[in-house]
Amino acid sequence: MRNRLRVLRAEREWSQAELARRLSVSRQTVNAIENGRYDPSLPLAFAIAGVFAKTIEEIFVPDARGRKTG
Amino acid sequence: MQDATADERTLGLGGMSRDGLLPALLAVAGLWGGLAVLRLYAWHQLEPGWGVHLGLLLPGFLGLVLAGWMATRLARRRDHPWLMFVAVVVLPIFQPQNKPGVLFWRLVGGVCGLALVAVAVYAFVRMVARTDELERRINQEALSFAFASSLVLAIAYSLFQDLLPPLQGVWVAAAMSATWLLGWNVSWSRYR
Repeated sequence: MRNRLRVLRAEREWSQAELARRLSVSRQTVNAIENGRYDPSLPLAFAIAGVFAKTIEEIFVPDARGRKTG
Repeated sequence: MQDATADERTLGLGGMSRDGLLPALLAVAGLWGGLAVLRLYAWHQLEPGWGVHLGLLLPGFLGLVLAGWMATRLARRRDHPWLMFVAVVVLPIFQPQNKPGVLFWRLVGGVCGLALVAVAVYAFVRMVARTDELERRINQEALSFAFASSLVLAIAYSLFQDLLPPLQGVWVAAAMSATWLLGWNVSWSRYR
């Protein structure tokens, strides 16, 4: 799963720690999602979408290779 | 903007934090030292005419207090990998044949040890339950790794049982904790 988390975060000038605080997760979790090493659960994906005021589809895009990471 | 690893202070091996190293070492030293001194005191207690010697009793209890204090600090920081490290190192201390020979004290030692283990397991489970979903996944993977590798080790031991020395129960517990710790570090590195 690819995502636009890093871009959206950069647009708002938020650090990973700031985003992690808003999502009530660890900074490592934000980092792992950004780098595509971990696919968040559905509740966390909804929380991420809520924080950026976007839909899940606008943030997360299925990987063309169909690789499962999380 | 904060970068990926800017606010992380790890030892470079998995996710063991640098800040947890000193409390973990002090907890190990306190427990090892404290119990060694108290064990010495308990052996002397068996000798007739040996009274209460605060010179041994006090340092022993101080060692245990130091260990408890440091373990609490690690628990408050939710540094459960370091707590597991402490468990790996101190578990081999608890060997039944090292306890004083009086049945009563052996029973007291066993019950106290059991209570301590129950509290530690409860605290550990609560600590893990409070972590976020990625950390819980890492813990699950560590647990799976520990189970599988312990199973392999147990089978390997049973195959060579006649050639190897008898196995102590505490060594099994220490090995399981050590494999959990190894699994945790490997899993943490995967998601880094």
